[in-house]
Amino acid sequence: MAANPYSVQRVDGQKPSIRRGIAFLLCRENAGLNAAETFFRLKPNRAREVRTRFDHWIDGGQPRDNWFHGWPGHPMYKHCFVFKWKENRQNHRLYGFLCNPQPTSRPGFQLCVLATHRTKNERETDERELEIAVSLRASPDVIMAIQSIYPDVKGGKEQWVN
Amino acid sequence: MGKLNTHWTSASTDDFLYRVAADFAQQIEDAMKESEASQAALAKALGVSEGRVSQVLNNPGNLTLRNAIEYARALKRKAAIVVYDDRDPKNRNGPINSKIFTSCWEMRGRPSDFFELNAPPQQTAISTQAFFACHHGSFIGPLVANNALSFWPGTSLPWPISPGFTSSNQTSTGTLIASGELVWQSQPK
Repeated sequence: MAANPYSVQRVDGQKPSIRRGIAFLLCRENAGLNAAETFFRLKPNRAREVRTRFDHWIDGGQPRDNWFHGWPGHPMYKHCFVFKWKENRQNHRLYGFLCNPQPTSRPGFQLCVLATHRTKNERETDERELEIAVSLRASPDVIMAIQSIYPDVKGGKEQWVN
Repeated sequence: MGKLNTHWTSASTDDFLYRVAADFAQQIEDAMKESEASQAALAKALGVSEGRVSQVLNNPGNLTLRNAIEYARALKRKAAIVVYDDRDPKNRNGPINSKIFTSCWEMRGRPSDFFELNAPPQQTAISTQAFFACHHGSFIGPLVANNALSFWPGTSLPWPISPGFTSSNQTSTGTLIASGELVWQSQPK
């Protein structure tokens, strides 16, 4: 059996929460999954800005569309999610999806798995990015990679980090 | 950035400062929205350029205490600096969002001094949430009151209180209040 090309990396340094967590999806065969690479290359102040937005989402703060949002009312993209920032008059996006890899041990948990970074200047969302997120969310390899980091331990004995 | 076992704001004072200042900037933006004040209007009130306001709100890491007070006062708000112990000495969780402190203060009835703070709940001047019942016993609620309102048991309330109520409900409930049938409970926990 071929090794799983996907892996998942928790975003270190965010608040540990029983309700929400953020992770990056990586793929050694697909350089397009570049959310983690982009995030870890951000300049200090930009990283602080994005981490503040991560904090806000993890804390359950009031939604701010210019910081992050999902498409909860959309039939196809209801699990997609995006974090945003602006730099040098260019809009930056980290696209991903929401899931709960631990329905037994943490039924209310929401994990935001960020996969791709794109820049855009159009107002409308590029649906191709959302389609990528939908397809990744359904991929058995991706699910396996997520579950290796977020196992659904019966009895909930594991000390969850986020 | 190396692996972090604590919250990212533990890495340096600048990191912590950025997060606290970003929370403050959020509050200023919320206050601008509430007062329907544009960045241009705020800039005019502060006597600075609109670009400067945008810079402070978008790059709050350089916010000074003086700026913070000026921005709050320009929006007819006040500001406080709060030191707290959230039982997280290693800062694994990061700062508590300042909006949480504000919300707690509002929920407690916006006490303005320690007498109001320590008064029993029935004597709290302002309740942001209350339950009430009709004289025939059927329960209607919760009634969410405008944060700016101040009222006491037995007093009549200005309408509309809750956007969820129809005008006929408001009228009949208003009559009940006027006749003293409003049943108050302390603020829900």
